[in-house]
Amino acid sequence: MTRYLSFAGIKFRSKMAYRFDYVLGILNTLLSFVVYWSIYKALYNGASEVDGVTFSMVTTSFLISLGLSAAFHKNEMFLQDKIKQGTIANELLKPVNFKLRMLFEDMGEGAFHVVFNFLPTVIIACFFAPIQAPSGARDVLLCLVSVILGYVVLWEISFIVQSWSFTLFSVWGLITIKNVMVNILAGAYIPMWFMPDWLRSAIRFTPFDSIYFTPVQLYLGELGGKEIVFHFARQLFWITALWAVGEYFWRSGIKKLVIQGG
Amino acid sequence: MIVIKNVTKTFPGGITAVHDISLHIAKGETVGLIGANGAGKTTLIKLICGLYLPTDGYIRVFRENPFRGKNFGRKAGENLIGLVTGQVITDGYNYHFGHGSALLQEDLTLALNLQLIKSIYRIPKEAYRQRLAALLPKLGLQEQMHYRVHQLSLGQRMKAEVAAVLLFQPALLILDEPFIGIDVAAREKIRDILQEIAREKETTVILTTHNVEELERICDRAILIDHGQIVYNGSFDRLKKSHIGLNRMQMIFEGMPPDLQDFPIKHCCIENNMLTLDYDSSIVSSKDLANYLLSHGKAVDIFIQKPTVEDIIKEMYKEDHHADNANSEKHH
Repeated sequence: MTRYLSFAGIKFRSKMAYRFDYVLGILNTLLSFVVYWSIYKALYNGASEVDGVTFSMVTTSFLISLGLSAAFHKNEMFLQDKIKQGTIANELLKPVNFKLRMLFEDMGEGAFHVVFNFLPTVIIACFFAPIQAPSGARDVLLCLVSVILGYVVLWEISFIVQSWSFTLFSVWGLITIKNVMVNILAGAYIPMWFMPDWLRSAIRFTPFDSIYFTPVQLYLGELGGKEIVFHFARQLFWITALWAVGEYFWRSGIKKLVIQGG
Repeated sequence: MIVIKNVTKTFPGGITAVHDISLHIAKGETVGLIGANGAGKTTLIKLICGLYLPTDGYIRVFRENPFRGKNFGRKAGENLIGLVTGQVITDGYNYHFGHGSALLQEDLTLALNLQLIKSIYRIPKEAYRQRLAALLPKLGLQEQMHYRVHQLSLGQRMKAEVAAVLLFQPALLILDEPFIGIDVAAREKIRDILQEIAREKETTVILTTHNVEELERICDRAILIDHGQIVYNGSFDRLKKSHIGLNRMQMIFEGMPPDLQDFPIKHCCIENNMLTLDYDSSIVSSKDLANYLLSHGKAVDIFIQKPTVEDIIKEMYKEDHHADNANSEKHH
């Protein structure tokens, strides 16, 4: 485990060297927040709530999604680059599990984004936007656990798409399609509350709402006891299922490499 | 010890990169793999590393099958093989003339990279400190520790890779073309370190390069590969002796060089006023040849060269290809 933690730690430390980069990162995050906040401010036009959803709920939800998309960092070209450069084989000589190492490296970078992009944005946003305080300490804790689970779900979807680099020349197109789908279906841009009912019930059968929306709901204290258990169970189910699919693609890719060369 | 028995690797599409190779390498031995591009060197190395599944045959590296199944699950603390590759790598769009070992990460500083190596290979703190203190000055890398790897020059980068691989002290060290694009100074530093390893006889080293002279200085043994097969396996001395007769004489004349009459010369060429002769000194003595030329023409300058290993290898390839051509003609 210490090996993998050092992958995360070293990534975090190396990111700290790019100071200008993280000032721009804060600006970027803040700007997206202001744009979104202004749009919804105009849409609400002074109304206290729409369909039972208050303005501060929408703003808070977006801020959390923004934070999560910063935290949920993934280097989507990682596998393709390794395969195209032909260094994938040498990577396999290292006495570490390639997938876990990749996951932890991304987590290290994600942690950097949370600390240096997202937290400053939250502090600044609190001065002008109606950010809802968490409903309780217990909810914050549950939210954090589900954030990590949600991240693993998202990361595994990315890994599955990336593992197509063993067969495709470039997975860039697939990754773009995947990102659009995740951003819309997972409720990163438009909160799930505003989606048509048929779409919401369809998304319930996909891994997408385990990614952003479960943590948001937990933070706002929207879920009751049984629902919390159900949502966690669903996150764990998707982690297991997607891990199995990713592992299958990974193994068949490696098999190809070992027999056909690369 | 590394044991390779009748190993063949055929890729789908019918290309046989390694054909029925058998080879033993003792512990602590330093072996040079020589071969033209596409001869099968890198495939053989990947087979030894367990990165390719042999189509046929048997490989053991220190009594272990290097091929660990299809998921490459490795037990903790297994740092048997260290691989450094210095080949031209491509990302599918551009060619980078660089080193593609993946031992170092481009976006990290050298210091962080080495720390990562320390924790991946579980190097104890004290050992890490000592090895680093010994390696860095030897390779002249102290100043580069806080540069990111992509900022390093080719030579610095290769030295960094060598430092990284030596930090975890693999039992088998494989260097695939480590001298590509590297200047004399950096090459010398790397060579010094390799010679030291060869002297200590604790690490088994397999080295491939186009630069045969470099190999001769470092390696105990030469293995020549051509078309996926071993064409020579033995000492550099024996390699030289077997072709020792082959000499080259070059003479510069004022005006036209004299006619050679019936001297049994292997190869003769006249360029401007310089006459170049390749001859077998067991058939024609250098003295007779020189005397004849000096007395029949007005010589300005004279050089006589013993063959280098490189020349011998070129000659062997030629013979090999002649034999191949003869064989294929027979089949027709």
